[in-house]
Amino acid sequence: MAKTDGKNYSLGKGGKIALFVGMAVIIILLVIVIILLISRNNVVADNVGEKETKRNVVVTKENAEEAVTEMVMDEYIEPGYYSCSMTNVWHFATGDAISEDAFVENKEENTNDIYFDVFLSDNEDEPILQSPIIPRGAQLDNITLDKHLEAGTYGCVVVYHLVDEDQTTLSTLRVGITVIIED
Amino acid sequence: MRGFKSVLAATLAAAMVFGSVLTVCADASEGSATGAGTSEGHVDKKLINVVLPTIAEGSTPFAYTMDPEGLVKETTHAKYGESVIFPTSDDSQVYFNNGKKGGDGTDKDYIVYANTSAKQTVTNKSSQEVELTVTVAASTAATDIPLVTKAALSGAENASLYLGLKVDEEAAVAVSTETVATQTVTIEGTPANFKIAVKSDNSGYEYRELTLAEYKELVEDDTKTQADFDATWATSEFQLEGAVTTDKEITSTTTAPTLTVTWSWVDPEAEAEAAAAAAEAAAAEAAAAAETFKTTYAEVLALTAETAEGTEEEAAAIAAAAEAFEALDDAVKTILAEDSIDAELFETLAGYNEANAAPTVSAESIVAGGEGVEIHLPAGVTISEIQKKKSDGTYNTLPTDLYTLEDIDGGKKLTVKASIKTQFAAATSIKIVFSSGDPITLDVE
Repeated sequence: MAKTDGKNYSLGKGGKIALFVGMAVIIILLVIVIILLISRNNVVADNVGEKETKRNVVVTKENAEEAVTEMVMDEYIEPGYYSCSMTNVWHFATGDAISEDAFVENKEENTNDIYFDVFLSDNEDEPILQSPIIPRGAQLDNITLDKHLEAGTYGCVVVYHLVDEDQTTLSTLRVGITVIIED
Repeated sequence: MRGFKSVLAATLAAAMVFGSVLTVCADASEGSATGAGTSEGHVDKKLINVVLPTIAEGSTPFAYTMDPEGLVKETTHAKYGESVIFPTSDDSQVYFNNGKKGGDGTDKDYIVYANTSAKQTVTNKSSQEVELTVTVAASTAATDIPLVTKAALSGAENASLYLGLKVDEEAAVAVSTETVATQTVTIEGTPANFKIAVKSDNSGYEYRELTLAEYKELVEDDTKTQADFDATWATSEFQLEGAVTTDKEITSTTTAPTLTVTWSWVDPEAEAEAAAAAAEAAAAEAAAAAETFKTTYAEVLALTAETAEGTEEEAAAIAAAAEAFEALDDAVKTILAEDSIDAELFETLAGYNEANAAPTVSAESIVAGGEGVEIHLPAGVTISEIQKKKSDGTYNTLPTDLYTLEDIDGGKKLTVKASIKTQFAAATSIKIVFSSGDPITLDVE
């Protein structure tokens, strides 16, 4: 309703149509923006998980120039270091129980937050445990496995991920441990 | 008189005072006191913390370039001059980037490529030694150049690659696709860098690493820095070395194996304790099993050549004991061997039993009119009849006046009279028939 000089005026038919069209346009634009934002996040997530690993190089006549350029241009990265404070034999009363001795600490002296995945040594496709982010100075105990294991002794690998504030992996470290399911 | 009284009074007064003092002292030395004590709890003086090298995301551990055709040096120097340094002698043509040369010279920014990787340091920041193991596994892609040992490189028929894992000054271990290369090293702990202290929240005690201030106090040197403290920890260095065949062709699709590095460690002290406890438990279990065996088969084990009766029940018991013995663990058998209980014993017992299960005769022939033969009779077995051979080859009863059976220990003694030859010319042999079992035939001489 428009109101001027004390009198009330109602929108004519044309005005109502214009209002309706305007609202429709706004809604459509909002939907497009939302879709774009969602698809952008998916692309970012995909890129985070799939950074291509550089392979070692075989120099041949065909690639000699390129290989040499890479060798000269590649920046030498000093190895980073991680202070690994953890128990390396984890006992679980049963495959679903909480371990009384599994313990991982991200010491204050380390440079990054971490998370870790635990795999069976002969199957690194499926983790048996995925940890939360462990900030510097924090520790994780009262650990349970994500996957039930039968009684037995298992050789496992803990793959540490040192991450930045976006939880993007900056570097990794592999540590062997033993998991013992008592019953 | 007055003086004497004064002295006496003083003496008496002194005696009274000293007496009470002595009484107090006596009470003090003979007294007792009670008090209550509290335990501050136990603090485990053991902390394990190992500093390990990490691998940057997107890179490979011990990244290398292999140059079987010797193209890199020439191409690099043609393009970049001397700003990249390669090995000047014994060049194995596998190159690891070792970073800038450094130092103060004009070549400090030159890039150094060597046939060995830059060393990676592992630091044991623990209170006790750890036994650290690093394994390096290689990929198995079909296009990967084959991995061989260093010794096999010179005789390789096709283009091949050698990668060796080195720790400190130990000999390198070759990386292969069949087995992981493994190096284990014991790195000392530094207990002097730890102390028992009250927890920051006053909830008890903890065993922790010294702070820099505490380290300075410990060494009584206020000029010490964090770097000085860090240098007190024991370390070990790992690196990779490489070499490639130089006279074998490769294809453009040939790839270099990628490597996977895994670290692990054990606490040797805890391992030794666990092993000792396990050994003790196993020994106790074996001892118990040995006693159970001896108890279960006591009757069989008590048998001897003298006591074995040769019965079927006895034979079955011996067989069961022998079977049970075979099923025992070696540790149990070792304990039983100390009591001379072994497989040979059961064979011997079976032999006793078998020998005593059937009648036996001391000779294969008997002399008519001679000393006779001894017949061993197992328990429950008797002699039913003595027979003589007839002219048609069959046997019939030998008249009792032509032989005697005399009781002896364990059986009978049979003698045959000389007149048997004159009375029965065909009786060239006699047959002893038993209540059970097969008869025994003896030639008559």
